[in-house]
Amino acid sequence: MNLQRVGHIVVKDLRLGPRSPLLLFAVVMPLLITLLVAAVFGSLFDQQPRLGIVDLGDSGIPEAAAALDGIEVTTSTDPAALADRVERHDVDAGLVIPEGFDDAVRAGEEPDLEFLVSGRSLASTRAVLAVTTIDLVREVAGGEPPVEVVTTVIGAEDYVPLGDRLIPLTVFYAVVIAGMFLPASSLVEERQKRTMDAVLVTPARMPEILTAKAIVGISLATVMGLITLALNRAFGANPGAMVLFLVLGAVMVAEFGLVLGCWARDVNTLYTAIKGGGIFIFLPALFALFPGVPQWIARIAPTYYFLQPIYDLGARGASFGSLWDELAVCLAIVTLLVPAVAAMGRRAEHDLAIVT
Amino acid sequence: MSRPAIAAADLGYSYGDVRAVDGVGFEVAPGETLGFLGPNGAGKSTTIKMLTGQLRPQQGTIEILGMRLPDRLDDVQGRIGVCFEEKNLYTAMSGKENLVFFARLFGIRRFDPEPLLDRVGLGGRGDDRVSEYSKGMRQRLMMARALINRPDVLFLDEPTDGLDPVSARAIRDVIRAEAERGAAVLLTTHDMHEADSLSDRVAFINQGRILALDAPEALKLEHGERSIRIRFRSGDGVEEEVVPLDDPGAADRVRAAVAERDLITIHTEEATLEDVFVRFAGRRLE
Amino acid sequence: MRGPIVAAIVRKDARAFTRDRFFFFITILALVAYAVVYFFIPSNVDETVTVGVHQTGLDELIRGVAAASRGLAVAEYDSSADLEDAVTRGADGVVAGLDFPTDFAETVAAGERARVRLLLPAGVSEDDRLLLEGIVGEVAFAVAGVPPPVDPITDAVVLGTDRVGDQMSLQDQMRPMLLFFVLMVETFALASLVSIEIQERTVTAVLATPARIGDVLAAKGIFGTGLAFVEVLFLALVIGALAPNLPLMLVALLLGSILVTGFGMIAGSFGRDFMEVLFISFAFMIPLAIPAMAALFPGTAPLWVRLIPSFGLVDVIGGVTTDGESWREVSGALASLAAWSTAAFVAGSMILKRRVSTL
Repeated sequence: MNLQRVGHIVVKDLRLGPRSPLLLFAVVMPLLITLLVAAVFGSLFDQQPRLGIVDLGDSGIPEAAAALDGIEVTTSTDPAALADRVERHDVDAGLVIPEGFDDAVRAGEEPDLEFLVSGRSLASTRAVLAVTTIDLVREVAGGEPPVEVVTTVIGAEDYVPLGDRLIPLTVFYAVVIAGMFLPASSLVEERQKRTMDAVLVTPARMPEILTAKAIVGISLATVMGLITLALNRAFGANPGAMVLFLVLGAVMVAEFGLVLGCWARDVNTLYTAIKGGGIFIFLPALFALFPGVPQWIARIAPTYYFLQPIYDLGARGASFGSLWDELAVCLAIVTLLVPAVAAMGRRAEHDLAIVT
Repeated sequence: MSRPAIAAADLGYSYGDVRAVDGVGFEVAPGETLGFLGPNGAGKSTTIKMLTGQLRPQQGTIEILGMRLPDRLDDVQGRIGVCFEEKNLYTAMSGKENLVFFARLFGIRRFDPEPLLDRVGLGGRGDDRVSEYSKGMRQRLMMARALINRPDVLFLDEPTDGLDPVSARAIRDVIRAEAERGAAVLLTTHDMHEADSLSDRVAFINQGRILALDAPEALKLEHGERSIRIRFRSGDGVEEEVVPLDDPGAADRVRAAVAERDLITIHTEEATLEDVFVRFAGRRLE
Repeated sequence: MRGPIVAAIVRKDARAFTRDRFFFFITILALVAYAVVYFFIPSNVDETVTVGVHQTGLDELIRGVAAASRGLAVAEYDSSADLEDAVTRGADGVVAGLDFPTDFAETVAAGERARVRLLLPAGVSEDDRLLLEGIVGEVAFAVAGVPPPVDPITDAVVLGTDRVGDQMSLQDQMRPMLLFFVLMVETFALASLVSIEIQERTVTAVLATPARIGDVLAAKGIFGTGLAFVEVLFLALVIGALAPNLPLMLVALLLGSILVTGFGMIAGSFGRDFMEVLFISFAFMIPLAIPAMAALFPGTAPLWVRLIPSFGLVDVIGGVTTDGESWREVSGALASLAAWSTAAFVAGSMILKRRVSTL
């Protein structure tokens, strides 16, 4: 193995990178997916009841409502438009506060308050908004409930917010697209275009080519993984351990990429294989989103052994010492893949020679 | 006697049940150009692949510059140049970038691609991407790439296939210059004119075997047919008579034609390499 | 455009597609996977917040609170320990717990402030917390004899069809997305097919026969649309999306197939190799997927989303499969879809024609 030649091939691949949409793909897609996933899943599972308010007077209710955590409040001036929004389910419920409402309530009266509910809003949402409305009116009336609510939070140590549960998913994309897809498609493209033949009749050898491709993939995957973790502020209390698992993960997926790149006869086949088999390596990222599902299933995926530690370190505050098992398995997988990569490389070299 | 640059003996290779190369052996001296002539599927490319280290022979031995393959593959590949039939260039890179990259693979630290580009007629186009090159330009760059390390042995696979006459001539000039420099050149082609003009010796290969190996002139003289073609007026039209010179009554026939016919032209013709090949192989070169 | 020539080209493309057994197998596998994913998505909607309660002497009040709203259910426990255990384990569907002291009623009646423990699992939403604190307050007020000045529960006016008990599940919401996803992926398949023909110049060879560019375009359009349509139809059949209105769904899915075929032709015309085709296809797919994602969220999509070509398709699928809308009700969305599909197909054909003619 001549490291200088490896370096020359790395430089060539990096130079070619920006000229191909592949690198853009590897850099842009993970970030885009990170944003999309956070936006879609984050908002989807964290939707708040939406209350529209039309205040025809000068009530203190809109201000008090807007200050509440837990509901989303919008104000407008047209009751007809509000009714329209309620009917279209743009808000879950609407309040039309007549003029002089606050004074009437303070005087002990029971003034009319139009409470419009969207037919599509959930019963629980309706309950929340109804009870909250009563509370807001009572607040305006000046009466405090004769009760003090003492909150006890249970199971905080096991709870992981959804945003943190998304981390394995976003890290997965960052690492896999750059670490696996990039070396794999680069290899396949060189084989298809026969540029690899030209390289192999120089002193360069297949192991050097594979090493160079792996270096590019691992480096980019690590960088993208670090950026993703930084964007999510998810390095946890042990950034060293986090980086270790990230790098090991990058190495693992790069090795898978090299095996795939040596095996797939063309880029269509590669794409198809990733399309069909991707779910297998994607499992751990998916299972982290749904903690109620039996997590042992995710252990069959090799990517579990770097994604789960990253999740445990970043989101659950795990210590490095609790992750020895995962580290051992991860190292074992990475080590066992080396001869597989070498064997596939030899096969690819032979296939290149016998195909005209 | 100097050591041969290429020495192949009894080479054999099969793809499954298909015997692609069957007992091929030959030598090429430094400064000599050997043309490998044969139709598609004859075994030319498989032989080249064994000689360049891409395939390990299943039978036979190979020595390049006195170094046995595959044992000394690294050393051999540092001293050979290969121009492939397929245009396997990095199209997203410029001509210069392609050459510099390969120079680095040969361990050449400071490499100036300009002289080489000028030599193959790509001066001034080195900074353009290969994707913008014409077919002829790509082939010139392929040739330039094969010459980066000033090889002692050049393997050229169909180097002028599909090129316009100007580009083809440029490539041939380079090949001649390399041979004059002392490089041994192994040239595969199914263009008999090219083989005839470039090669010191020609090997006919068909169905994995070498049918004949000699200088083109010697092959034509020994195996080809010389003749005289006589064109004359006959009635309102023009007729031809071809007199094989090896026929016993050839002289009489020629004298009779000169005396009796209303002659237009008389030409002597010699056999082409293709004619000789057909004699050996029973088929055309295509 | 000549039928036999077009048919010959379509047959050739179909043969090329099915001959790649691996690609063919994975395409089928992916379809099956989408169907499996669909059936794993929750098909029920839990509209009720179940609260665990431990109380003494407040039976009538607590039951009254639960009965007042269909969105609230109460599970009663005999002791604080039982309540805490239920909340910890999430037993009986309990999302939180209210632990009233045994002397709650007496304390409030005496004009003093009672203390109630609200047991909340970590991660409970803020709106549930608001609800629970509100309930506690209303129970206290009720004991103190202070009725609410307004009654939004009883006096609420429901606008639109009241869907309590028949809400749109996540499975319903995902239907347009899954169907659209199948179509979207086939954008790439067609783009790849077109690109290969251009790069390998086989289209040039075809045009050197009696076949004309119109025949080639028609064949690509038919094959691309047909392939996308068959795949999306299969999935729609499996996930029950055809049942509400078969003819209407067929028309919508066909128009959707034509839409993605148009974009596929554009991507295939510009992509010079697999990666470029993939990249350009994704550049189309991502914005086209936005309406399908927007369908997961309640309310009217913003104007800019409604202007995206695929919005009409998503709107029709959602309207027909979830609300049982008829031709008249989806006519606007259908017309928009038809217009965009036509525009995309025409644009794709023109761009492909121009690309081929410059080869």
